Amino acid sequence: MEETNLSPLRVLVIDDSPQMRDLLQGLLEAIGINDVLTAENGEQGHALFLETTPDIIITDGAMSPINGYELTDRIRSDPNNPNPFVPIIMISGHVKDENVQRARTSGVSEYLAKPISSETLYERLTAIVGNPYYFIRTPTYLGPDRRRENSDVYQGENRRSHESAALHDDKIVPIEKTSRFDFIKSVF
Amino acid sequence: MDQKPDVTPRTSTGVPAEIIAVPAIAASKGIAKPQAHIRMDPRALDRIHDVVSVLEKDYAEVLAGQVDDLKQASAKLESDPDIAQTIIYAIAHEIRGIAGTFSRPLSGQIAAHICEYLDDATKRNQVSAALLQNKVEVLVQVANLSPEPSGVFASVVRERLNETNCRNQKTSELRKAKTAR
Repeated sequence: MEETNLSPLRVLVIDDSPQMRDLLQGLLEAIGINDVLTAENGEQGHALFLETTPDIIITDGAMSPINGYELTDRIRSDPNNPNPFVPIIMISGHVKDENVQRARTSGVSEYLAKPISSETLYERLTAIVGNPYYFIRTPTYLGPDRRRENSDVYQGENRRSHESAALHDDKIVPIEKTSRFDFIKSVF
Repeated sequence: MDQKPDVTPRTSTGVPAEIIAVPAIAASKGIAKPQAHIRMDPRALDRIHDVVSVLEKDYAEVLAGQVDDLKQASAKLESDPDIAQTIIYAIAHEIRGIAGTFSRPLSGQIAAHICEYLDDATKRNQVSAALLQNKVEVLVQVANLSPEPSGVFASVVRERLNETNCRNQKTSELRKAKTAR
């Protein structure tokens, strides 16, 4: 099987910890993303975002002078922003409800708790890169559509039809029924 | 997993929300055809593990430096508590964020415990220098062990840390009650 070439992607990593930036850069390069830009805080990150329009942003939550939440607010609310729909993955050591809620209302796409598992990050990235997504725009919010459903309308080839019948058994929970946010908080 | 674009969400202002379909990045960047599934590749996972193990060695040095800084800050807890607490919190916050990724989960958990203690005790204005010094000492001892202990030892360390918190809280409640009398 040929490996998916992720080299066309550009990712912006924003974290005040140099170890975390090195780790994220190393992990991204390991999966084939070599165009990785780094910034030490939200202010630098925002300037770099406007200058380089990355495909994905990975940001820390708590930073100074501009933290990850404020950065997300800016990116989502700026009418002159070239890509307000850019997926934003927040990786934060603060996992209290108030922090997760704040991330959600800012319009963060994914929220990962530190310490991160490298596999989890890879999994989120493949999900973000491979799937189309919906955004909601209201007078007070622009961000990912949090409503989710499991569609029975699959347009591709049914290669495992004998398995799909088993999935309708109530005792078996299909993988698709686990929310992308189950890993940390159910509030998303 | 599909989302539900066919229902107009209600908003508090009464203005209907606009739903915007954003194509998959893989399709817009020409990485994969639309509808194609991108899966985690075992070869990439192998490379990820290699990167983590290389960085793990570098992290051991970083952690040793942080442990030295913790010791110095801890020694100043009596003479300059505010600055010492700020430094300890900042270092513990760093350690809790990254140690677990580099096979040092117990150090990360003790660091998280210190942050939680400081968050809580600062709010109540009841930071005990002696207790904080004990917690820092535990972190210093565990961080100096290589490989880091796990299993029963780790469970005992976590339990003891929680016990000291409870004991400290009870003591301060008793003191408060006595003062009120």
